Amino acid sequence: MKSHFDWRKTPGLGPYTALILVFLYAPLFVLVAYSFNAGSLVTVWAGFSFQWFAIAAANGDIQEAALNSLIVAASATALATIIATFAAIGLERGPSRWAGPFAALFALPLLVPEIVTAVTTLVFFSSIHLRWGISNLVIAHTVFCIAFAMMPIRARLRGMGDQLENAARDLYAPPIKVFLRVTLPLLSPGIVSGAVLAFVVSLDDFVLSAMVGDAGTTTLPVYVYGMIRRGITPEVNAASTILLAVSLLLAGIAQYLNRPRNSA
Amino acid sequence: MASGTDGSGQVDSILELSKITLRFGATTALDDVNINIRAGEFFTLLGPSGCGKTSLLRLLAGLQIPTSGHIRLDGQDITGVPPHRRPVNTVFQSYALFPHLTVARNVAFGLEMLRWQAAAIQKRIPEVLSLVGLSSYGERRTEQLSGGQQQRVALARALAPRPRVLLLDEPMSALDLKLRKETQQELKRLHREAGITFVLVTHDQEEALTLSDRIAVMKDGRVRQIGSPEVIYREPSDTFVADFIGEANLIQASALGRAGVAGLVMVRPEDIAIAPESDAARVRGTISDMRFLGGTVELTVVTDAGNAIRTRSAGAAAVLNHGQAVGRRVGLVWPDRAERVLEG
Repeated sequence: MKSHFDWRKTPGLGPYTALILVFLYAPLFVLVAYSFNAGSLVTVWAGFSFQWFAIAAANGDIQEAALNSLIVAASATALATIIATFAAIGLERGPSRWAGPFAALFALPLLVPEIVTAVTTLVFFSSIHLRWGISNLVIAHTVFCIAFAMMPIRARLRGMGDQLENAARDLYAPPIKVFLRVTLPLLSPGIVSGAVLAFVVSLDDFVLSAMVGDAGTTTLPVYVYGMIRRGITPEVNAASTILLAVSLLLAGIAQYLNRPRNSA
Repeated sequence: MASGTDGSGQVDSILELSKITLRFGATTALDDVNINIRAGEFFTLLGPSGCGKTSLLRLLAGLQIPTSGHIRLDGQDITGVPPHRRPVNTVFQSYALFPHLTVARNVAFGLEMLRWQAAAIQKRIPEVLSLVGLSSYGERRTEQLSGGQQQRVALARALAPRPRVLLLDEPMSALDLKLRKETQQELKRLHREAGITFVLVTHDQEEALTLSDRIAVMKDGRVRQIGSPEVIYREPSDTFVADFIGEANLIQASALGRAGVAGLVMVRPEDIAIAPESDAARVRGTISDMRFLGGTVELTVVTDAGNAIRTRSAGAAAVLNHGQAVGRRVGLVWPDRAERVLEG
């Protein structure tokens, strides 16, 4: 008998893991902590205060940027989720010989460096003279949100199998009723978590928004980046903390909705 | 009576499958299958896994279209008709109950799709739920039910629209032995009370023998024999059927000293009696093994020609003085009508 290799018994695994976690999350903790700083320096702690949140919230530019972010994220999410849902159904239930190539096409935005997508989108939009303001941004976001939205939807469709849809067909449901009465209700947790994922990705996006957006369509991440260049105050931290909190909350919702459940 | 007769005096077929072939790429799942199922009968498709019985059921449900051949229901060609336009319902192996609907809403699903009046649906739901003994379960969620109860909901749901034919895809394979026996009786009763044609798919030969009016034994995508349980058991058409249904001794005809007879002689273990080693015995041999099965005793006798023959009887233990049987020389006898010559 060969002794079984168990990676969990690697010497020093615990401390090493702890170091990685610190490396990953310490900056976030520092950022969040200093958003509650009473002083005006991001590196010197001067006591606890909510004042920077109040200042950030009262800043008209931040408000506008946040509104832009919400409009873009909400619109892109709605469009991307609808497209992703039908794409996922097509890939999982359609003719299998097209599923492979098309799945790869849909996943491409995840693989292509975002800067490449951003530059080509910008060039493409200007070459066709598309100047729809914020709608340009919505279109650009929708394209790469589809890939993210589709992941949980497709996973859930696959997990469901086609048994229940077959049962509905057997019980006299025409295709449209099968979709509305069985597929859609059972798929909805996957759709919601796909939508949340798309929303978070859109909300957090910087490269594409910075490239494609113009003066009137500054999103929150782009604005925060601009703030840093003008000199960092805890206002940046506060704005970032809000963005982080919203993202975490939504990601948590997506996780919760898509949690594995044992059905008897 | 549910079954009528046509002008020629033959019993009406409710389902006719003619020359059905189903291929997936290079593999042939069904090969020239011809079956006529009579109105009101309990028909079983029996065979080992991979024999094509489930594919055949999917063809009847409309979930699959045959490569060639025709399916007629009540004389009408339904070969390419989609599942939602066939008056045929299925009890799926995994039950496939809708987890987002209550028991009552599951049962109502087919009726709603058929656009029954709300009042008629409300009347039908308690009817079928009481038929399967789940009257008080209408508002339950299906996940709260045991496997046996889920199975009965699946039955109620499939029976509710009063289909012409009820298809059952190994509905008892997920149940434990005791529950399976109960469910078999339940199915038999439902078949009587509902007066609907049942088509059951199973790999369990005992289940098939117990429940069916007629059985089609399948292997490798082909039907090997169709007949009543008695005919299938007593007069199997080939060695596969003989061996698959019940237990069978298959003895080379030559080993029995049958001049001019080719093939194998089949004798069921329960038809063979132990006798003294006299001239009257058909074969002689030595008892090599004895198994006490409760009601019966099974003996394995190795004949002088080297065949192992199993016998089963209630009286053997008494005759042989339990415990000292192994190693004794005995003769075996059986009546002529118990044997059947099959082509090897």
